[in-house]
Order: sequence, then C-alpha cells, then structure tokens
Amino acid sequence: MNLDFILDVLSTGLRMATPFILVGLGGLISLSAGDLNISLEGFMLIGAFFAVLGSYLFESYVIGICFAVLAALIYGLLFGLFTIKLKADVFVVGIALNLLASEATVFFSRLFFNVRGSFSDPRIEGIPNIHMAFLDDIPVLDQLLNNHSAFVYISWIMIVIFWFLVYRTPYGFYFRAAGEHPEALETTGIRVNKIRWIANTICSVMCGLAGAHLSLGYLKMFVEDMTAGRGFIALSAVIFGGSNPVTMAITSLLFGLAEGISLRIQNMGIPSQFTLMLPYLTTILALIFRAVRKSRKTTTLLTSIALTDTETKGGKL
Amino acid sequence: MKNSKKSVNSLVSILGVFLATMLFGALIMLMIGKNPLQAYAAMFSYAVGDVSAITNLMNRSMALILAALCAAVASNAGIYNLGGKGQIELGAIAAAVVGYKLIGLPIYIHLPLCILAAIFMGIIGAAIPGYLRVKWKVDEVISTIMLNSVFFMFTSYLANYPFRDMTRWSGTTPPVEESAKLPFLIQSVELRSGIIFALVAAAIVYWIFNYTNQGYRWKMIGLNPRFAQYGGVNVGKDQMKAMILSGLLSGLAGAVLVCGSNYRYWESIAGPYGWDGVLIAMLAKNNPIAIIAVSFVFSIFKNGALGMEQVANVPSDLTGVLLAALILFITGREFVSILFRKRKHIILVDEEVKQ
Amino acid sequence: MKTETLLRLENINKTFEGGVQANRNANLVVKKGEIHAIVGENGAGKSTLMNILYGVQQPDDGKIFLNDKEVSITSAREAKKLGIGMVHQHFMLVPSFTVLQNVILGYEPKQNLVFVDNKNAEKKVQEICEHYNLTIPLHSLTQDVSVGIQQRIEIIKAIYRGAEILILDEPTAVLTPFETEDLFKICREMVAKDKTILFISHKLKEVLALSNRITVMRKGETLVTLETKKTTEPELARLIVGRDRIWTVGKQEKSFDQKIVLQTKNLSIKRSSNSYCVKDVSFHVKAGEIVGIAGVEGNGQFELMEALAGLMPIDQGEMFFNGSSISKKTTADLRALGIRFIPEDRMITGASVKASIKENLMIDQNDCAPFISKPDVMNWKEINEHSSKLIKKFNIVAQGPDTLVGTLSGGNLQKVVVARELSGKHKCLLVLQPARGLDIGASEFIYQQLLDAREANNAIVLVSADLDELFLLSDRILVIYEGEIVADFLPDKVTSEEVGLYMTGAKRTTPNTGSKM
Repeated sequence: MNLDFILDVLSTGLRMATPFILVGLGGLISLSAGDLNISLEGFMLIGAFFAVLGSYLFESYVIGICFAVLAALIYGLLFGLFTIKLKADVFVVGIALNLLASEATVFFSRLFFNVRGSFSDPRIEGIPNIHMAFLDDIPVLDQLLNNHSAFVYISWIMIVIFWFLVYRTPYGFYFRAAGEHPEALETTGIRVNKIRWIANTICSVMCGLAGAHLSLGYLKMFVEDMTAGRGFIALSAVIFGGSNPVTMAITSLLFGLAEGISLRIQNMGIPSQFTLMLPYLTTILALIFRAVRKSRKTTTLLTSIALTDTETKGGKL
Repeated sequence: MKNSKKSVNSLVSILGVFLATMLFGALIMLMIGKNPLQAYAAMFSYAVGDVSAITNLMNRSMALILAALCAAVASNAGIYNLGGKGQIELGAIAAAVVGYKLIGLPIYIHLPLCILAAIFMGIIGAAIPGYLRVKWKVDEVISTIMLNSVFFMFTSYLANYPFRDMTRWSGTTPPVEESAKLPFLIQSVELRSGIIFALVAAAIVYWIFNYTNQGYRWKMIGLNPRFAQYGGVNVGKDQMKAMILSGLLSGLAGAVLVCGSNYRYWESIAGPYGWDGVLIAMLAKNNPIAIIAVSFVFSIFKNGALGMEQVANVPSDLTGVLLAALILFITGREFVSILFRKRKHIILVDEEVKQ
Repeated sequence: MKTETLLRLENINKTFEGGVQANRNANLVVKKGEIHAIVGENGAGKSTLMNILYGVQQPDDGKIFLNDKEVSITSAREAKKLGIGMVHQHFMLVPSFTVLQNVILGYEPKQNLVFVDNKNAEKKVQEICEHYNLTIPLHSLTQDVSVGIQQRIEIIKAIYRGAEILILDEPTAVLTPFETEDLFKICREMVAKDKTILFISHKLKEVLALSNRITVMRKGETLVTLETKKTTEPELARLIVGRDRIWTVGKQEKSFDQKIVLQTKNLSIKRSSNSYCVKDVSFHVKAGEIVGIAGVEGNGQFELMEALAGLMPIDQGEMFFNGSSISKKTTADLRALGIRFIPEDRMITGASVKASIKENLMIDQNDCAPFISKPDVMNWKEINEHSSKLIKKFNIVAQGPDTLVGTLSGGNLQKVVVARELSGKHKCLLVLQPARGLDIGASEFIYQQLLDAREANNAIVLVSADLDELFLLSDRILVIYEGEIVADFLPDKVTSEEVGLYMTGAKRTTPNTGSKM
C-alpha cells in the first residue's frame, strides 16, 4: 500500500461523509427537539430527485438546489402535520414517508422523464467542483482537500454554523429543552410545538441539500433509491455523536471513511460488507455502553435521552 | 362477542379509507390524463385474473402476512420489532444454505431442517435486541433498525463469498435441492404451500392472542406494563418471549420465501417485506385476521401495478404512492377523530401534566 | 413589617369536570413583603388556588386584584409579566444544561441580536446571587447538583424573570432538614429585600417558624387567616383536620390471636445515593389487626408499601411474612403467599383502563385453576362467571365482564381493584388511601370490605392521610414522618389533633414500636 492509495481512500472518505454530515446536522436538531425522524432517508431521496428535475428543466444547478430544498420542505410539512399536529406515531409516519419517497420518486421519474432505473441527460447541470489554486503545490493536502464538489466544503462550514446554533444561540437551548424537558420550556412561555416545527424545518432543508449533493454533486443523474441507506447511517451518526455537531461530524467522517475503504477494497475483490457494517455496529455498541452505564448510575433527575419509553408507546403500533 | 363487533367496525372504517385512497388515485390518474376505471380494472385482472396471477398473489401475501405477524406479536406485548427485514434475510439464507448443501435427504427430513435453520436464525436476530431491551433498556426501536443493516451486510457477505453461486454474476446462493422445496398446491403454475404456512401461523397467533394465558399476559403488558408488573407478571421475561416468537415468524417468512417461491437466497430477498409488515400490523391493529385481509390488499395493489401500466399506461409506481397515502390517511383519520371526539379529555390531561 | 395590600383574591370558585369543587368562595389577602403560608390537607384546594394565581388554570368566577387593580391571568407568561413566579414541586430544570443556562432559559440576554450573551447573563445572575446572599455553582451541570441547590436555581430563575411574588409549592417536601434551614434563610433574605412569598405546606412547625401570616384552607374554602404570632400548633392542627362526617360503618371490638403476620426490621430504602425515603422502619402487624399508618404524602409511606408488595428493592433491613423472610421475593411470590396490594394510583397501577373488567380481575390469577383449563389456555367461560359473580357481590355498576374499566366511575373502578385483591387467597392486605376521591357511599362500601377482611383474620396495613379514615378503621395508628415511624398510638387513647402534630413534624418521639398492644 503506497501513499497515493491511502490518500485516495482518505479523500474518498471525505467525499462520502458529506451527505452524512448534511443530513446528520439536520437530524441532530430534530432529535434534540425530541423527534426521532427515521425518514431522513426518504427526505434525502426526495431532495435528490427534485434537484435533478430542477437542474434538467432550467439547466441550472442553483435552481436544482432550490427545487430540492423546496421539495424537502413540503415533505417536512407532511411529517410535521402528522407527528406534531395530529400527534401520530413518529415511527409509523417515518416508515410511511420512506415508502412514499421511494415510490413517488420513481413515479415522477416515469412521469417527467419517461424512464425508470436511472435518468441522466446532458441538460442536467451538476454542482461544480472547487479548485483551490494555492493548494496545487502542496503535495498531500492537494490530493486530500482540493477539487471536491462545492457541498463538501459547504458541509464543513455548516458544522461550524450548527455548532454556534446549538451552543451559542437561544434556539439551540430551546431545541434541547424541548426534547429533554418540554414542561420546563413550556413554563417559560415558549411553545414546544413551535420549536419542534422550527427543528423540523431545519432538518428538511438539510436533507434537501444533501439530496441535491447526492444527485448533482458528482453523478449528475438520478438513480432509483440512490440514497441506499445513507439516511440510516446519518441517523446512526446522530445517535452516536449526540447533540454536538462536532462529534456528530467526526462520527460522520469515520463512517464516510468506512464507506470509502469498502469501495476501494471491493474493487480489489475483498469483502466490503464488514466495513460497511461498522457504522451500525458501532452505534449499537455505543447504545449498549451508554445503557449499561446509565443503569448503574442513580440520579435524582431523569437523565436526558429523547428516545421514547415503552410505557408511552406501549401497544400503539 | 363484543370484540368481533369492534373488529368489524374497524374493518368497515379501513374499507372506507381504502375507497378514499382509490378515489385519490383516480384523481391523480385523471390529472395525468389516464383512465382510472380502465387502470383499476386492469389492476384487478392482473392481480387476481388467472391462476398464475393467483400464484403471484399468494407468494407475495405469504411473506407479507408472516412479516406483519412478526411486527404484531412484538408490539402487542409493548416492545417494537422493526427488524423484520434483517431477520427475514437471516432466515432466508439459513434455509437456502441448508437447502443446497445437504444432498440426498428425503423431503420429510430435509425440508423441516431448512425451516428449523431459518427459524433458529430468525430467533437469534430478534432475541439480541430483545435481550438488550429487557436487560439494559437499550431502545429496541433503534437497535432493531440498526441490526437490519448489520444482518443485511452479513447475509450479503455470505451470499457473495462462502455460499455464492459461481454461475451467477453476484449475490446469490445455488438453487436448493428438490427435497427442500415446499409441497405443491397447484403443480401446473408452481404454486407451493407457503401460503398455508402463513395462514396457519396467523390462526395460531390469533389463538395465542385470544385464548392462551401467554396471550392474555402479552395484551396486559402491551396495554399497561406497570399494571402487569403490579399483578405479578414478569414483564421482562414475557417481552423476551414475544421477541422470540416474533423472530421465529420472521425466520419462517425467510424459509417460505426460499423454499416456497424463490428456491435460492439472493441479496435483499426480504426486500420491502420487513417494513411493509410493520405498516400492515399497524393498520390491522395487531389483529391476525385483519393482517391477512390487509396483506392481500397490499399484494393486489403491488401485483396489479403491472396491469395498470401495460393496459392503461399508468406508471406502476403509482400503486406504491397510493399505499403510502393509504397509511397516512389511516394514521391521520384516527388521530383526527380522536381530536374531535376527546378534545375536552385531552385538555384535561394536559392540565394535569402541567400541575 | 409593611401593611399595604399587594394581592387580593376575591370569591374564587373552581369546579373541575366531574363535579369536584376545588375552590369555594376562596379569599386571600397578601401584603407586600410578607411570608404568607397556606396550609391544609391534600385536596383542600391549595394547589388549585395557586395554579389560578399562576395562570395555569382559570377560575369559574371571582376576581384577582394586584396593587388594587383588577387583573386577569390567562397564562404563565402573563403571570410572569405581572411579577408572579412559581417554584413547582417538580422542578422545571433541564438536566443536561448548566445551572446558568437553566436560569436564563427563555430570557437570554443577546449579543449581536443572535447569540446568547453569556458574560452578561452571568453578570446579571451573579448580581442576583450576591443581592440575596446565595451561592450556586453556575457552571456545573444541573443533573450533578443536589436537590437543595436545584431548588435554589428555581428561586433564582424566578427572580431573574422579575418575580415580585414568589409561590413556593411544598418546597420542603424534597429537602433534608439542613437544606430546609437554608431555604428559610433565603426566604427571610428575600422578604427583607421587598419580595413577597406565598408558602404552601403541610408542615406546621415550618410554617410557624417561617411565616408572618397563615391562611388555613379546608375543602376548597379559605377558613381563616391568622397572625402567626397569635396562633399555636394545636389550634392550627385542629383547624386543618376538623371533621364533621358521621359514618355508618365501624369496627367491632375483638381480641387478637398473638400471631405476627407481617413484620419489618430496620427497613431502609434510598432515594438517591445520600438520602433515604424510608429509614430504619420496624413494625409488625398481627392477624385480624388493622394497623393504620398516618402521614402526609411524600413521607415514604408509598415506597414502604411498594417494597412490601415486592415492587421496589430495599437497601437495608428485612421483611418477614409468617416468620420467614420475604426481602428477596418477587411480586408473584408474595401474591402466592397471600399478600395483596390496593395501590393509591388506581388509574395506572391498580387497573388497566384500556382492558375489560374480566381482564383486570385476572391479572394475578391468570395462570391458576380454575381460570385455565388446559395448561396455558384461558378458561374464559369460568372467568366470565367468576367476573359476573364479583360484579354482583361488589355492586359494581357495569354492563358486564366485557366493559372497559376506563369507562367506569371512580368508585366502581376502585371496587374492581378491591374485588380482585379480595377474591384470591389473601392473608395480608396492603392498602393505600382506599377511599381517596370517592363519595361517602363508595367509601363506606370499601371500608366495610376492609372490616370484613379483618374479621376474617387478615393482617391489614392501611396508609392514609385522612385521619377520619384511620380512626374509624385502625386498631393501632403509627405515624410516619420523613421516612421514619415517629409515633405509635392506640386510637382511643389519642386525639386527631395530637396525631396531626406528629404528621406535620411538630412533635416527634422515637417510639419503641411493637411494645404496645
């Protein structure tokens, strides 16, 4: 294994982590406000399709991104309507929205493009790669950091923005309070449901962006079910990394790296399934670790975790 | 009996929503300039029109029924199992491997071995999250979702490397022996008896739910775990048993998929069955008889889709959209009616929480 | 002490759905800069009155005047604008936040319009702390600080939000004596700096030590307002527990056999790593005896009963049933021995409201003959007959065994619970507040059932805050206070005022339990 190979894997990992980071940042806000959205996958898929549609119709990636965000927002409206307004079970709505996304995108691609499977066209304008001239002469960094799609860099900026959002603005605190102790927030006169709507909106926008990156970032095409479980990996990153955008992003990078390695070793004929399994497996182990530690610790206050208990969801399914 | 009256009521209301969904679909078809009547007629004729259509319908329904029973058994006992997909994959590959590796056995030994292997793997797949939940309160919703992917990767590895059919280009085990296939119902159209397994399983679950001591305890835990514990029920142990039965059913689903219609394992054989099963169980309110009905409705939609496309030129994926809409309509309808009927009560409860 | 009136509540009425009248022409006058205590039993209407004042509930009629101006308080936000703050019994603090973040939640000072100005916030909070001589660890995580500190955070939170009138709802219920002393210091400091405090409590000694004036509430009415200096503990106790009910049921005098059925030795249960909710409790109950345990809610009686029913692990000591240890037995084991439990919370613990009557009646006997025919198969025919019989025997007003328990009235729901607990094998009954919220008829019916069980030689533990109930039924009355048994009486040798003094912590002895007959 030479340096080039290692750099190539690392650089692929960085690339692969981008959708996890974007979706994860959105999912993190949503989860800290108390909603475990298992339809991140569906949100992203909707974004990916409409990004291609917008870009195809107007031959502009900017309009493609706008389409993606708008479509994800409408999807978020649906999610919020059922979970916040109608108080429906968040898992059932999540599963239904995943199903809807995967079927609706194919339906629409039949309707608009008259193809199934995958759709690509020269009219589709992709999101440009960013070339940073000053890196050209620095050997390692150039290979690692240069010439990625714009959203790779945007996602890194987003990490910083979200860190400030969570830890430095009042809304960051409102999100966490809404998830952890809604009554405490309600008694200060802030409507918990309003906060959940805002979190849901932020989450939708991020999923839309991630979808646009997926379809317009490198491929410039829409493929049936092209999210391929990335929404669930992002969900793992959120659960693993907690409410801190930085730890979530680092987790995403590691998960991206696992995907990057899988991709490369698969080309070499080595089984990649075990590296692909890692994100999920580590998340389960982290959950067990936390649960064991919690069961040993006794506190007078209820410990935080926005996850529901069987007693509240018992037999509702 | 009061129960049956209630289930008739809920069946009627489901039918109402079902009609509303068909209407919604008709509207979409009119909007894109297609003929809904023609499309629906084609859907039904493709789904139930002839014997080979019936075969396809049975093959899809049997997996859906078992997957839905898997979700229902768990959630009826107050514990979620969203891991049907991964558990079905595990069961399927176990059946497939036993089915092609063992050669020369008579059917009455080989077939049961396949099914037992599948059931065993299914149980392992469900017992892990069950144990984590009962022992350490690890949230089973997340762990079952995560394990779906873990098990899928694992079976994908097995099908691509150690047990791969080298004559195929990827991800498949070799075909199982004739002695590992379920007996025929109708030989001419290759309809095997998987559906019988599903129907019998539904009947047994119905019996367990309504007539046995265990079923009674599960119901009590599902309705109010605190009360069950107070009454002396060992909640953790019974929930663990529910997860084991749930895993058994998903393993069985894997076995009938392999031994009853596909004759081999291939990657993602469980396909949408796992998630659809959860939705069907929810729509049927965990009632096994209603599960059979809803599963057939699902199958008719999915299998009739091709007819809509070929005859009426409606994209077949519309049916998937309609199914998702159906689920949202039902979830929405229930909660809307609750909001209207019990508004006062809800406000009262809110106040109690605030105090 | 100033005399200007700050707050006046006039003729407040509040009736809840279902006809429970929580407030009846309640009147309250609060003067500026005083500590005004409101005392009364559970259900006397204190909490409702305070919730009305805090805008959480709306009165049916009546007026509220603040500084002689009529106000309507429609929400907690509104109450805050008027300078009314409340420290809830259950703290409204987010566990993973730092103390500072909890104090400023919802009212953060901003920097550049977007960011939270932590420095400024810290300065402001620090100023409040210094002004009132309080110290709190601003940068610790809230989940790591003690309950006493958490309460302090709540107080500072209220002041930070501009509270002039501070409502403290049972503030000492969760505190150790040392922390209580601290709280009193803080309260005095605050009124010295012109704040006004409304102090809700059951504990007479504390009320007498802290307040300037005391309002006594009973059955939704504000009975009287007294100057603290001019009243005494016995007077207050009498006002609080004053009774006028006449019962048609009553216990027969009888002699006991001397067999001890249920016994605890030095039983302790920890609330957290360093505090106890049940402390060193030793007592015994003989066959055919009703032992009443009097206590104000939250003094450990609930945990004690849960432990005896096998629903809560114990930390020290031992429990015995008929001479053999039951410390490690499960609920199912205890039920098989004949220990039955009628819990306080009948909507969640005592019954399953979404299940039918017959399903509720079966929870403890679902695997016993004759209710199962073959192994593991329910004999619904037998169960239906059994249920119908119990419905008749206990006068449960319901259509039949299939009626959902959630549709029954409170009295009938409690009858279902009692019917179940008395229908199986029973030798020992653990009973918590059995007649709470029931009308006289239903109460008497339940009491008669308990007395019948006593005649049938059951050992019965009856936990209640209702002294009337205890005096009516008990052969012996113990008093529990802060997790300890502080007194042991024979009901005919003591007055309810005297018991009330022990219940509220005004008096305590460490009795040699078990020595008296």
